Amino acid sequence: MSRYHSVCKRHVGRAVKITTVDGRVHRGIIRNVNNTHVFLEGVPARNLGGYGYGYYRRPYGYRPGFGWGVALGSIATLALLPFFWW
Amino acid sequence: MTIVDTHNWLIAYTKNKKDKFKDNLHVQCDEICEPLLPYFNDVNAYDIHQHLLSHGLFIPDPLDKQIIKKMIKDNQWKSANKVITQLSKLWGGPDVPVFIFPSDHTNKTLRTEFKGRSGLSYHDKVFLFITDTTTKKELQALITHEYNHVTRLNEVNIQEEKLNLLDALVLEGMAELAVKNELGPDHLSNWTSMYSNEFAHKAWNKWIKPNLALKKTNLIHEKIMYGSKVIPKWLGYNVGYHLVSSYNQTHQTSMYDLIRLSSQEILDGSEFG
Repeated sequence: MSRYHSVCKRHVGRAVKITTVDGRVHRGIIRNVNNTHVFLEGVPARNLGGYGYGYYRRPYGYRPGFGWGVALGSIATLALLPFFWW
Repeated sequence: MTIVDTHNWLIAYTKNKKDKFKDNLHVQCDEICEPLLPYFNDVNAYDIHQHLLSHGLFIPDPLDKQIIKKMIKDNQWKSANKVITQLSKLWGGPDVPVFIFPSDHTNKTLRTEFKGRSGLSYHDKVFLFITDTTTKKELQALITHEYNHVTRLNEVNIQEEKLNLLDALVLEGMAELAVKNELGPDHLSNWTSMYSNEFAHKAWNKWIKPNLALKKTNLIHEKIMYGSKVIPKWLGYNVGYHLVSSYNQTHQTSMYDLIRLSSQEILDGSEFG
């Protein structure tokens, strides 16, 4: 089993930044962990500014309650995010 | 003007789509936001994806293939190029990359208040979110608004982090005044007529005047622009329109010159100053 299994288990409920071996960055709150995947729920991303047409809704990750799985075997790095990051 | 061939990115997205919604969000991020990385500094594709979604980018759904196909068939990219090239000559605006994507047709506010259109402008790039039913006039109105921002942001030449609430009011008000000049009052955004001039003055004194120097990163800036539980919807946008219109009524400045005035000059010459 991946060494990240126990790391993720220990940090359920915490915001993390995971980089996978393909270079992708996943930021989210750990909601669940099974033998193969860690499941994240989105956290608000950085505001990249700009001026719009009037339509805007605050980002809450990929919609509240939406989570996605990251294969434990694909994790290259995992860092805990401090609260001010999200 | 550099209209980026985002139709090829969209075709790649439709070809790589999977069965599950969650997978498709990742496909969308890979095909649409990864190629945008060179246009931003120090961000990842996830941040770009989230930001565009919050400004009206389509959310993967079963109808998106059909919408993309129709947008390509109607060649909305070519229509956009024509409009923006004309405006660039008229206003002396810069050549910037333009990215066109479908908007979120499942969002009721976007559909009813903005006719399914949204946009996002920076001094060096512009995003247009439209639908397969966007008419040429509707596209022209959106581009006029957004490209007005691009031109002004270049002319005032102040980093976005340093721009404040007054700058945002003037930017938005001016962009819709440009729409009125180019297309007539029928094509104005709903928020321009949401509140009367009298109400705008009351709201100005209560919420806006004390906060004019607030930077964009302050949450109250966002609440004043878009509304909150206590602040009326799109208040900042509406007051911005009243402000710039009142300046224009007494000064009759051309849009070319107006774009080049400071926010303070416009405020001082308006009924609100």
